Amino acid sequence: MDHMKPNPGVHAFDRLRASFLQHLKASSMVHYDSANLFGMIPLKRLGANIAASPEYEVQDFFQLVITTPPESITWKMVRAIEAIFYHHPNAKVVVYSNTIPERDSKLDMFKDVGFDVEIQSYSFKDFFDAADYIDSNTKQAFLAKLDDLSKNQHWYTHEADLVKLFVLERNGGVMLDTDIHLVKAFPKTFVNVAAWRTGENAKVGTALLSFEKNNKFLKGMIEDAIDIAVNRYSRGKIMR
Amino acid sequence: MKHRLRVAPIDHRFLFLTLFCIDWYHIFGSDLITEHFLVKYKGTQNLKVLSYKVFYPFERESECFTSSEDALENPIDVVTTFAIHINTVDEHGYQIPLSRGSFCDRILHEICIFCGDLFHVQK
Repeated sequence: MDHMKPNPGVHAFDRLRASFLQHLKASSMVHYDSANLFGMIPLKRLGANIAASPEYEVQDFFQLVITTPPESITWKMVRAIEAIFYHHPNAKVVVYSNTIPERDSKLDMFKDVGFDVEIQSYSFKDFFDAADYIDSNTKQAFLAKLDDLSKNQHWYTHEADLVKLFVLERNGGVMLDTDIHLVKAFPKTFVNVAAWRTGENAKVGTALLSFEKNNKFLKGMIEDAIDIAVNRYSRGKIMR
Repeated sequence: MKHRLRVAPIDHRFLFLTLFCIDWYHIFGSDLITEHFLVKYKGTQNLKVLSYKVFYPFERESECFTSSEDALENPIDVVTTFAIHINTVDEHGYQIPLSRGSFCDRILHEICIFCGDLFHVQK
């Protein structure tokens, strides 16, 4: 029995149940509410703790950052998270956001069907408290300037990039943009990796990054980014 | 036209200020990591940069949403591609809708959990 391969069918079955529950919710809230009332939700997944990719070891910790309002969560973003759970049904997905509520968001659908999604708020002050590699004067200057920075038109995207760096440096794991769609399971051996954006190898992409925590390269990037934000950032651009 | 007139003076002003970067969006993302990898930490062992085929196989990502599988040569390598980046915002900032029968249509129908929702969106 110990040598038997796990049954991959349980994950397909879990997906069908998840899809059915969503269909039920869309067609009648009475059924959905009844299921809630009688403790059927969240669904107990048959594939919990059963590996989905026995061919190779896969990552089990994924993170995303959303800095836009809840109504900006499109079906495409939801599908990106679905792709994570499709290939890694037992993974933990943490969404860092100060705009998405912990309950009553579109991401509840994942919790309802038994996937491990958590929405966590963040603050730059907390990031700085853990970042002893940044000069304390620079930290103070950044926090003092933060209100002004956040008024810039493109700050939401710049904030997301900064949060990604801090979170990866602190926690490690995989960080995805919401427009990345996994087409197969992400190997555990992909650590401290990024990929070129094009065949010319001109730009490194940051839509999908995987790092170990306390990575020196990330620390260097964060130091530089905070310095830019404090001293050279103006109207959403950098002064050379 | 109204939009252009409203934006024009701002762009005009910045034409004189050539000390600004043109690329607004990637200041703390792609621009920064590229500069660090190629210049500041050249030869670092703390980051490996993989081939574009691993996460960004499409040359023009929006074509995945608009072109059929027959028209678009499949860029996904069965062995080396692990993810696809599908930024489908057009030059005016609008989302390009997913066309039925497009390359991404097949992928997004194959790799889904709440698959019924996607059919609903497309109707």
